[in-house]
Amino acid sequence: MVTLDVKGASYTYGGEFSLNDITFSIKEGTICALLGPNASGKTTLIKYLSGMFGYTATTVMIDGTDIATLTAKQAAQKISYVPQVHEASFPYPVLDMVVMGRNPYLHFFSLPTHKDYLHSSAALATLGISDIGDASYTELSGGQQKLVLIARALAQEAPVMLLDEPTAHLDFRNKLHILKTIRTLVKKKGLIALLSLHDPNEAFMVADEVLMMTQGDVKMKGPADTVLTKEAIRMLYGIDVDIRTDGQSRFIVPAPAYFGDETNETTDRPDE
Amino acid sequence: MNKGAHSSFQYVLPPLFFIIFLFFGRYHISPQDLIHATQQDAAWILFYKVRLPRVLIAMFVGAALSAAGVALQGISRNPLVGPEILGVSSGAGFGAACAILFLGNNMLSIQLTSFLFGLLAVMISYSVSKSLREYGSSTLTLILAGISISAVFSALISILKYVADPYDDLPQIVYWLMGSFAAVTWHNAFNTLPGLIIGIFLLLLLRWRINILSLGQEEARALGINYERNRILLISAATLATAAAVSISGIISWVGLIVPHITRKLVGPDHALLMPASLSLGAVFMAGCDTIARTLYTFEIPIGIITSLVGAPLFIIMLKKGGRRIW
Amino acid sequence: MRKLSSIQMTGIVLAILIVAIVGVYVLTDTSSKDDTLVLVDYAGRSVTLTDTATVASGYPISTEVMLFIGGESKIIGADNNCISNAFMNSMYPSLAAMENLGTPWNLNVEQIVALDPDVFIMGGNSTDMADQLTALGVPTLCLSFETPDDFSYALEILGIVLDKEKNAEEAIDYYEQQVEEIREKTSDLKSNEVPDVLFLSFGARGITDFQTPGAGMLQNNLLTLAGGHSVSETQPGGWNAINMDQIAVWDPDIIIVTSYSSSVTSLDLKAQILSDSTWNVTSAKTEGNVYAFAQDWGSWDAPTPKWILGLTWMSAHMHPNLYEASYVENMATEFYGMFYDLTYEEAGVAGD
Repeated sequence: MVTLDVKGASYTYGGEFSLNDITFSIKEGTICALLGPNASGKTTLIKYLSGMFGYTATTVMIDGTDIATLTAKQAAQKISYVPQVHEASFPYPVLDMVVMGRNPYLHFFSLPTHKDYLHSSAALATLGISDIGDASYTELSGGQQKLVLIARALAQEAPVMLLDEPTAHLDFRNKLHILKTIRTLVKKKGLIALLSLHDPNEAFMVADEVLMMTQGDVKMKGPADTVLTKEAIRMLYGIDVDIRTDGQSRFIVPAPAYFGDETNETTDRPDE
Repeated sequence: MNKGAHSSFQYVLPPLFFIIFLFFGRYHISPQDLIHATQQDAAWILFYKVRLPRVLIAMFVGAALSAAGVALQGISRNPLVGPEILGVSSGAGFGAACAILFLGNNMLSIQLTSFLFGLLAVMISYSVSKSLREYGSSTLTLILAGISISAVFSALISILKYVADPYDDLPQIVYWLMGSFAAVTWHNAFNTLPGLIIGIFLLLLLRWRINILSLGQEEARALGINYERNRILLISAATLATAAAVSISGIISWVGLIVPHITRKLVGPDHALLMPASLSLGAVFMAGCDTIARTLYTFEIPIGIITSLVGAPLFIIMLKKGGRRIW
Repeated sequence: MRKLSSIQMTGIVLAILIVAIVGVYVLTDTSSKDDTLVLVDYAGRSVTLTDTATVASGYPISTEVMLFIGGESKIIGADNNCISNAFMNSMYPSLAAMENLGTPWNLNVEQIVALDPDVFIMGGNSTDMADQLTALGVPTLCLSFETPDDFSYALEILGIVLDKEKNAEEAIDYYEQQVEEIREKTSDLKSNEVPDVLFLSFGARGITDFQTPGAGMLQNNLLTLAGGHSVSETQPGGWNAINMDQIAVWDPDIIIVTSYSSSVTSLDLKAQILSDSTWNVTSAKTEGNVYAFAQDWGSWDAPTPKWILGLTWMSAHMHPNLYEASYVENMATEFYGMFYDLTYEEAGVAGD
């Protein structure tokens, strides 16, 4: 059973963004959502785990291996990263973008082999976007671009996938599509996925577990259904909400008083 | 993938044009003349001792500048970047001016000094950009530092021009700065070839990594590449190639900027393809322009004029052609 | 007042007109003033000089010519080339006291105006700056020295300005006489006796970086006068770079190489050519007709007063049958003695 164990991760930069002694564990086949307001440390945690700031010893263990002892390439075989925003500088064809994910497996100065291209094509197929393999990345829609970045991360064949706000900047349909894609991927391939989300409803839609952060601390963690409560939301975002359920899924709505006008009675009432 | 089709073309072009260009010149030499010529004949001397090293070096210089341009455009993710951006040309020019003024008029000292100062200028640019790190993205600070250091060395060149003897040293400095392959001999070719070859070779070796580096520091790290180390490697290789080129031919700008663009339009942005294709096109382009420069009139036309007059329309035509975007 | 009749009106208007015309004539008539001088310079500019007590020069050749005719007592400012030239300082110690005005490329208008010479001399093409200075109260003459006629004319003008008309006349006579002598010798040459000459100067990149003079350059003028044909005379004006291919096409009879650099002499360059087998493309090299141009403290082919030596040297080397063996040396000795008070050895002549 592959697990991601994070023990005592701490980091400060820029004076504002920091992590304070973060500890948690995620098993394979699990989607863990990182929730929290701005500057809570969610993105910092994701970046920390992706190796941007270097790793401290024994802080991040994957399947029992201390990632700090690995080279950059070896680490990239364990953790893949899907950025929130990718500034495309060149109009790389999609397949070329995805094959870059095979970099951790390339020796010294070699180019990607036929096998690498096969892996990449397979990644595109898994995500259902084989048809855009030859298109230029820069000419795709936001949703398609996100899928390409996920395909690239997939091509890395890493057990852990980090996604920084994967639904940001996407329209409604694409948001749902991406969430569904991630969930399917994780369950099918037994990945460990850690994604930061702005909207707690998305966590209900897709996450098995939830980590709630404010000001660099993990305040709560656990299964989504148990941990995401009204009190938890109020603690995180400072807003009063109701959590409704229709039996199958749960969703969060603002409490009636939130939009209610104190002087006039409105005819709008929330559905039961 | 049709990547195979492109590759064979690019290996054939340079040798083919090499042979073709060798038979151009003010003095008419046909293949028959050459076969029957002895070492004393003008045809033999001109072909083997004058044209051969010249066309060879022109090709290597064109290839080096183009490869350096590809690498630097990739690293800095900026289409306006050429190999001069980090200051190597201004530094080399300053070195040459110093050699002309203080070390006597000989090719060897000029080559050496210009080469060393070219390297020095880039090292200074790099150090300055490191110290500016917290003020902006590393690619931006690198470009800004390069521009500033270029400006400093250009100003120093102006000072040297100011104090130079206007009848003797000054025209030499001006002429050297303009760029020319007229003075290439086997002797100074041998001095320059190692730098050119090593630089080009390294750039070829690293070409795939440019793809990864062009994604930016964050993603490059996540894909398993040590961003800073590879950046230094590429900058060093590009600088080595460019400094070697400038030390023998003076400053020929524009080639390193547009050849990568034209090639990118032809073969796409994948640097695994782009690098060898740019080497090929750059070599043929430069040698072609030099052939025009040395054959059209009785006197030599400064090569910078030809590369601009031929290159700019070519560039615009390529831009307008349909097909893939270049950026 | 009462109305004037038409006759009276006409009379008054006429009177006013006459006064005006006479007044304008009187006020603008400059030629009748006693102590002013109007000179026409090389560019055809008519310049009025009120005084010629102090003179300055911003152009190396004119400085040298002014010293040549003995006018150093009037010179208060000169160009950097002459002032910093050690040899010239040893011949003309007064150089040390003159104000350094810089090089022709960076003359400072304000500095010249502050110096306030009565006359300022510049090179033939600097008419813009000359007009500017004249308008600022420093009458400026532009002089050219590129052809023998221009040279004589310049000598004449400078003789007037420096009060050395006699010296100038002597020089002009000497030059014209020498040119005439050479002309006589070479006028009977048949076309196949006129050699094709390649004149070369060398650049920073060394022996393979050579340039040739183009149309209108002094070197080509002298070569033609001396009875030769410069192969590069149809190229654009100024110095042009050429390559070995073109030299092989021209295949000149004679190669003359000169050096304007202080770090390498024309003899050095000649030695390099002779030892480089690439030059075998020309019969000039294989037959040994390569000559290092003579130079003393400057090259004999520059438009300094010594061009006359250069001319003689060229002719003697192209047509050795027309001149006795020591003709050039004798002529130079006479020249140095007459105008510089130097012996041939003191002048430090080098070259072939």
